Amino acid sequence: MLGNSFFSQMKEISKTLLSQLSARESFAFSSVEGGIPRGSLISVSGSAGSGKTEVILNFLAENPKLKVAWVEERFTIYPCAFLQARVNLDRVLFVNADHDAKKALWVVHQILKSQIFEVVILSTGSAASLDAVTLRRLQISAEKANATLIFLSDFSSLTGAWSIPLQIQVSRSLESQNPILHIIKSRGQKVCQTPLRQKA
Amino acid sequence: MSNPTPPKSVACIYLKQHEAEITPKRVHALAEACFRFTPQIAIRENEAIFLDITQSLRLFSEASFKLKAQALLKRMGWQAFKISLGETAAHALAEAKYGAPFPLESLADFASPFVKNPELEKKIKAQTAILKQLGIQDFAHFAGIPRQTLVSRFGKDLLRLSERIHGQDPVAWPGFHPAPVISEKTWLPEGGENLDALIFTLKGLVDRAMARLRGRAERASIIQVEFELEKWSTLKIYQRKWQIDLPLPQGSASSLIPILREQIDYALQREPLESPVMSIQFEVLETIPGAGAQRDFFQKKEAEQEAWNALIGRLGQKLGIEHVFVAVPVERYLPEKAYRKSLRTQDVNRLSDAYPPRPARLLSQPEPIRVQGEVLIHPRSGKSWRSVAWQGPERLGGEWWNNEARFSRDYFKVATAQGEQLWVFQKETAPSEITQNAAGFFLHGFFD
Repeated sequence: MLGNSFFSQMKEISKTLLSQLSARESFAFSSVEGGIPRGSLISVSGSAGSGKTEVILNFLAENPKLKVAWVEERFTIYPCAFLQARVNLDRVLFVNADHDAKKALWVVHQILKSQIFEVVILSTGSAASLDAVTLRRLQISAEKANATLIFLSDFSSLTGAWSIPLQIQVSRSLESQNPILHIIKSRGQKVCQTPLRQKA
Repeated sequence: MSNPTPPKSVACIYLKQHEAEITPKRVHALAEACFRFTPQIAIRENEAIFLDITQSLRLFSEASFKLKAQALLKRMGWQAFKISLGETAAHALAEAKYGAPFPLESLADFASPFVKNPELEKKIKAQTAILKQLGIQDFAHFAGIPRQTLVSRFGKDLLRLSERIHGQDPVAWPGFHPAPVISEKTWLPEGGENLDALIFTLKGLVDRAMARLRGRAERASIIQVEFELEKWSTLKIYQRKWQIDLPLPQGSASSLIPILREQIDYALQREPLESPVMSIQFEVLETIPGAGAQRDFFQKKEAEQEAWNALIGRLGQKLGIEHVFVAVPVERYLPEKAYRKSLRTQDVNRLSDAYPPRPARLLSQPEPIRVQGEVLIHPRSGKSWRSVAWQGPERLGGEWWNNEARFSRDYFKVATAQGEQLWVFQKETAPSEITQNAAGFFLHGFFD
């Protein structure tokens, strides 16, 4: 009997420790079980208008203290949309890489090196520049800065890239018009499908 | 009861380098960098720098002050020096020059600690010789002579010296005014052509200039680098000069060097050096008030601001400063002008209560589309969507006072069968006239 209670106590303690560890190692996001991992690369893809930016804005709204750098290869992001999503603009730095994928990657490296931002979003139009070596370099930079680099793209050709532990594809529900998150790769989690949980 | 020892409130940096290496310009540059410790600084020309550190000692211990000063001296290119602390400038100078116990010769430094005065030194030398003949062999012995008997025995000069030793006749500190423009120059006797080597040399200059700026509690806003080339007969111009107007003021070498490298590398790729570089000069042409001379120990804000400025400077240099910004919402109805670009996060107001729905993606220019029944056609891309629901209109109009800028638009959020949501507007149309087939529709963004 004593043994059983000891083991159940140990189980509880390890559970608490694990949850604390995962809380420290990830940013809370109610739509993704386990949150968004820190210090790693994440891919969020979906066709134009599918709601992938909305997903990111919801994530930022749930983490109001995070400093964010938003790098756009082709600048179409509209900062006024952030306000409706309850994302303060004073914590977001926008960078326009002016249609140059190489420059966009250079910018991301500089931003990660500065260690000012916890989240860096790279909205990219072409997967060509994101080969395995580039991704590995970015992964190392993200790890060092303990920042999360999120690739926002229309394509899903990053699927299967080993250095990206969480890959989300977004599509819009035809009935409710709400974005649906398809977790197509997640370390330690099941592949699943979940609607975006809007912050109240 | 013995008097308590007076606190050590003056630091003396005694320069022991070879005479040729001690130039007034270098000494003044070092004194300027020392402003980070105290605003009260005096120079004994080509020999020593005095700092009134009464306030600094509230922040640092003696030992940590010395370590900080040593680091600064090394950064400024000084190798042979001694740092000593004393109750007065004269005490600190004597300590640095002779060490304890002071010899009688140190009385000359008490007579004139801030200015070298050969005549006075000669006079004191003669008097110390007399003192020695009378059996007064060292400084402590002299300091112990009762002052009432000094005038009658040795005259008023030695009485004054004795009073000064006991801190009763303080010497006024002369003012120190640094040069208005910070300029650092170095010669390359071998000549340099390799960019990495030149940048390495430049780094030392920038570092020293930034240490001086830090002392002044300023940051650089306009800088200039000049390469002087070897005077080959084939050359018409012997200088290459780059003046950089920094988008955000910079206060550290680590933030300036990448910007300088970028600029010089770009310029040299377009127009390579035609002869070796013989000297490099770095100048700070314009400054603005910057971080305080004493860093705030308890807040990271200053360091964060420095890192922010460095990043913005680097990105702005590479991409153009208009491509790096913080968005500040402004009260304008025209969607594409509803925010302005800023480099300071402080300009942004916090969130208010309600904001109208706006698309996450906005096209740089509204693009004409054709609406045929339920189908929206985008002629430029050839793409078409079947609409399933129209929400709106939201009428946006204004700037009627300007004929060119005035606008009136009815915006709709259009849900499509493909699962996309478009932001579409119709120009100059009254609500009663809205028909989906009417012309004048534009695609302006996506609710992505």
